[in-house]
Amino acid sequence: MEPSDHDLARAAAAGSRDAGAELFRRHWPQARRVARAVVGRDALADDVAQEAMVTAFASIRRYRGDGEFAGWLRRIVVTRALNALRAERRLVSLDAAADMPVDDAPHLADPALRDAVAALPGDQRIAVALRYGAGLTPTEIAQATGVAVGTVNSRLGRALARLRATLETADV
Amino acid sequence: MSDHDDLDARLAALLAVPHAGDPAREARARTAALDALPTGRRWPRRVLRAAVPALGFAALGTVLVLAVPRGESPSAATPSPAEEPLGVLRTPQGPEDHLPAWVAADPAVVANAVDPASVRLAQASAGRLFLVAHGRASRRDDGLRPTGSRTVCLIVAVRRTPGPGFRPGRPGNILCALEDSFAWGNLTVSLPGTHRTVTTPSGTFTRPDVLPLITLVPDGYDTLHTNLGTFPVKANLARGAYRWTLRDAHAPFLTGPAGRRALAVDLPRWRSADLRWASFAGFQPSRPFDRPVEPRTMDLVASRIPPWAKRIAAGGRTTAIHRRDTVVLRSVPVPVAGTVIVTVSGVGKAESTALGAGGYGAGYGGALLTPYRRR
Repeated sequence: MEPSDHDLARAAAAGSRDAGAELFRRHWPQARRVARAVVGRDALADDVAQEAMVTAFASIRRYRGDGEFAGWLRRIVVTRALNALRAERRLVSLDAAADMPVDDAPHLADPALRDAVAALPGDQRIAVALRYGAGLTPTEIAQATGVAVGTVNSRLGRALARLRATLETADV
Repeated sequence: MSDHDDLDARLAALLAVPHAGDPAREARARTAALDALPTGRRWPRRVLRAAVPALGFAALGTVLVLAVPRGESPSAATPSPAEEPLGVLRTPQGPEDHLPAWVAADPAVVANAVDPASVRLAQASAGRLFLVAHGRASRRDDGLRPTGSRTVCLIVAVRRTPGPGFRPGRPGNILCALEDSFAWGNLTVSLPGTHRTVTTPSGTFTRPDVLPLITLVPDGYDTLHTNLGTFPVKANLARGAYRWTLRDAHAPFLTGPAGRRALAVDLPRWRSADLRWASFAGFQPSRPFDRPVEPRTMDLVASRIPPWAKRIAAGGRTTAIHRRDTVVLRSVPVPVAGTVIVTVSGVGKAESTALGAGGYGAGYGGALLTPYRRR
């Protein structure tokens, strides 16, 4: 029988690299997926996911096992990702320099929807990204962002309504 | 299909995250995460309370005998010879195999970056020493991230001891790479002169389109091939050159008994998970996207911008492009002789870095960093 995440976390907290490696194997894909959904770029997502895993492993003794390890880790990933985006906004564009591409790749698909998502308020955009990008449930999004499930549902509902309105306007 | 379903499908198609990540990147993250695991068992508080007085006396005696250097961790043991990826690290340590005194005197380098006992002199030029050493795991309470015990580091240091005016601002840049084979690539590719020093570059550099290329090479490869020729590998180190402006030219690669291996070439870009203390990390001829090289200008690549930074200025310009914690200062004028002062300023703070530029070419090819703090 496979050891549970809780057992692995306890072993890793006692210094077992094997247990840590198994935890990493189980949770890296989702950590990266969540990071990618929030930050939207592969290179930055790799950085964010790695930093989140390092933070989680360094403080693994704080994981008490009263909730899912995956949920605990997701919270760290989302916090890291949001911090990365905030830091980026703070420093971006000291001067206009449009001739150098910053994004990893151009987003060619569905430009109208892309622009509409980009125009959403931050909390709604994050909820949408985690729901449709990372495939998280509203409960998991609530865990990851530290708000109530009702708040997540409300944000998703408002975001979808706003997107529909924007797209309908654009179609006219 | 209803509008609701249609929007859901469009969102899923637009935002879906590709499942396939970069395996090499994942492997790096895995090693970094495992290195971050706590070591040893945490004792229950009441056991500690009972044991502390007795341990205190024992510890006092032990410290007097062992005098373990700051930052050294029992888990940072040097790997056994059988695990060494670099033959040069398996050789006995000789009298020349040590860090220059001025480097070794910097506690940030020795305590947080490399293990002095593992240092081996790979090659030497008239002005520089090319040293290889193991990285080390270090304490985290000093605000510095460890290079990690499973890393090997290349240290390019000038022979000359800095003059009395030298005032360290922050630790310099030492290039380290994970030992695992997947990591050989752009992490191990280095530019000379990115290690902190206060001297001017030796020699002149007259080809702004040519990138000096120094790389650690794993066992089994004896030649570095670039689009400028072939360069021998000696003591796991290759020193060559690469014409970076030829975008369609083949990437450098290694050959030898182990076969052929591509070498990724990239300007060093330190990330927070690699080395915390990287500051102005690289430079290149200014070449705006899709345009020819601009004469007498260069782009400076800076990373780990201080969190308080609001403005960055170099050579009288403030043009910058931010890529997370990396800033590219575009088209900075390079003086014929002298230095370029790069200033990062914020509310009530300013920090400057002088880039030694012995001439236009030298400013690109061999500019050396002299970090200092302006009070």
